[in-house]
Amino acid sequence: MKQDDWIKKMDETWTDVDKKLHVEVPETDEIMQQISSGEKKYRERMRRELLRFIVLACVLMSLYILVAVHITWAFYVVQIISLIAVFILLLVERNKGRIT
Amino acid sequence: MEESTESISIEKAKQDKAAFGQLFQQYYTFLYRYLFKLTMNKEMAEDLLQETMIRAYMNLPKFRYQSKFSTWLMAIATRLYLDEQRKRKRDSKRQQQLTDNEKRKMKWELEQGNMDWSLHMDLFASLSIETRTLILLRHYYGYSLEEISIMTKLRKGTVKSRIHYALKKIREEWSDEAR
Repeated sequence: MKQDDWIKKMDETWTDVDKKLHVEVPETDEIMQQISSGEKKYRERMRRELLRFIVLACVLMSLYILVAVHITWAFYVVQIISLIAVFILLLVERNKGRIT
Repeated sequence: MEESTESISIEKAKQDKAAFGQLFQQYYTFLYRYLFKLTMNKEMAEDLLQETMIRAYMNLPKFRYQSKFSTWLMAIATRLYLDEQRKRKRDSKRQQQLTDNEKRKMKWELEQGNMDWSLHMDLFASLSIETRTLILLRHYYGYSLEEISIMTKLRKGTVKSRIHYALKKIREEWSDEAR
């Protein structure tokens, strides 16, 4: 890694900032409290996102079905595609930790 | 912290919230300093630190010792910050205005803490948020291009070229100022 004058000066500046920066480390109890409230909010947010996703999936599927009933052969194709899409998306969501 | 002691603490933290609290306490200052350098804003650094703590707690069972625990925490914090900034970036005018306001706030905050606003800081602050993050990780924390690529979810080539062009630009400006 090439260390030129600018990088050296910048590193010195950051080291100085690190030294002068006052950091108040919270107590373990405070951290636990923050985690508890944050965890609740996080789970709620994830639940809301999942609900939005399910509603969107239902709306799209309804639209697909609506189109498909007017074209007989397309009905089965659209059904299978929709099911596969929902299954893949649920797997993705599960991977992200939004659903268990 | 010694590696074996650290892994025992991590395993305990996976099962117990209080143990996680104690573990996180040990990295609190390190992470705060990193986030302050990244955001150059105390409030934002504190908010991100709290969000990082929650994400870390939620995802700790997935931690598989593929990197140091501190690197893992930094990766979470970096992604959170970059995602947040990408959301903001949608309105470029607002973004520009925010950058100017943030710069003024940064200067004020540093002066409050008896820290000098140097020419280096000014040049560093003139870079885009993403580039600032990459330079900080590469040249101050000494991470490899691969590690930065994983941490920021950018391709290795992108990381390399962005750092290269940003440093080139800074060197030119720095030599102009030094004359």
